[in-house]
Amino acid sequence: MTKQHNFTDEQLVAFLDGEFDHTPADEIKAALAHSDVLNARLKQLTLNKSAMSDAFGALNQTAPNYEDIMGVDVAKNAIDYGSFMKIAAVALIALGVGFFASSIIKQDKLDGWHEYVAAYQALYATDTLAHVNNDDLMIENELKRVSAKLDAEISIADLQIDENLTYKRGQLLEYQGRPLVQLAFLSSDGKPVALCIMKSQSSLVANLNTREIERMQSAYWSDGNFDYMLIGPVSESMIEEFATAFSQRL
Amino acid sequence: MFFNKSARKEVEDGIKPIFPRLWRYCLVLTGNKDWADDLAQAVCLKALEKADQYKPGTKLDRWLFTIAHNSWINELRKNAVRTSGGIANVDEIDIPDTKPDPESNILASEVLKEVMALPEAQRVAVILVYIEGYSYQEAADALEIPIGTIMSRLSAARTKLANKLNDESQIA
Repeated sequence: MTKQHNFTDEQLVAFLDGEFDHTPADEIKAALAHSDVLNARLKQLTLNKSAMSDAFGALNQTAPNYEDIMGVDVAKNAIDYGSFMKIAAVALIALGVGFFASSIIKQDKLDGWHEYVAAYQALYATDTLAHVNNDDLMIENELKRVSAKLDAEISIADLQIDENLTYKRGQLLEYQGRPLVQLAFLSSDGKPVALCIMKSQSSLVANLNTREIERMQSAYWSDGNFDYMLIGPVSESMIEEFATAFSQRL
Repeated sequence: MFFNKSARKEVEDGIKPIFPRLWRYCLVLTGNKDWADDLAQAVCLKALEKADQYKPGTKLDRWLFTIAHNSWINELRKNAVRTSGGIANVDEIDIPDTKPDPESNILASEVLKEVMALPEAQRVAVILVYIEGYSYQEAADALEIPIGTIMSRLSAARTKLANKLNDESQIA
């Protein structure tokens, strides 16, 4: 018999996989009893699961050793995770695993202050900054004061990267005893955006990455001297564009 | 900070036995051994750091896989594609002979090569459902996509694999 049936490949594959909640299993079973075409289609879609299992089982055996990948004796260091992270980072750098891994370590290490900055920034509204209208001299003095804490020099010109982002004020904060400079901006549509800077604790360079945090978009990177985070309730493309400009300017 | 000793211990003790499978999943995600090493390492570091967020008694392997997937999608893929032009190095992936008969070993190598040559979304669906034993719903939840998308990815993958692998290799 060669009766035509209109089962989709998705339905037939679900049938083969035993996912009967997602396919008309009874209809397929009934049709298989009298349709050579359907039997042929099913055979064509049948997967050699034994060969798949052999292949991926063998692949497990090619996995690198856990301790080798982590660079240290994990068990011995597991109790003191802070030490472990430092040792792992140093070991990995020593192994020369390259910028890719370096940027990963950097991202993990920075998670702590990212979270705090995001939580603080989430409290900002348009009105937090809308009334701030300092003149250039006041701004320069303020920038000089806060950036001195980082042994850096940031001028007002460095912060004028886009006509849609207006610098408002700089604050000196602290994270785990380390100075953290927060430079606050308002976007042209009134969204508060902050550029936060901390002195880098290593010389690792981390490329610019973005992530959503506290329902805001953020970008973070490091030039090896300073770690940066730009955050605000704007679009990812906008935050990336602003962050790229800052990374080239600072 | 609340310190969840039970969760931390389960994560610390549990990662190592799972590591070969985690690395394998990272290899399927990235399509490249070097990236798999880096991603697996990043996942372990992140899991140890976030161990307090793990719910003891739930499936640690799936928690790690979720971290791997999210890390790859949200943080690392962009850089990997940028530095490589987006080309996965499928040819460098080889496996040892594990079966007594050469034909089974050749077939396993061929199957692996063809699975790894699938588009990333399809090969991830394949490993989760056919190797790691996820149900369709579990795979859809893990990848945060509709179940229909899982079905179409698996269907497309099967069609491609059937076309590539000869009929003799197929077992009902």
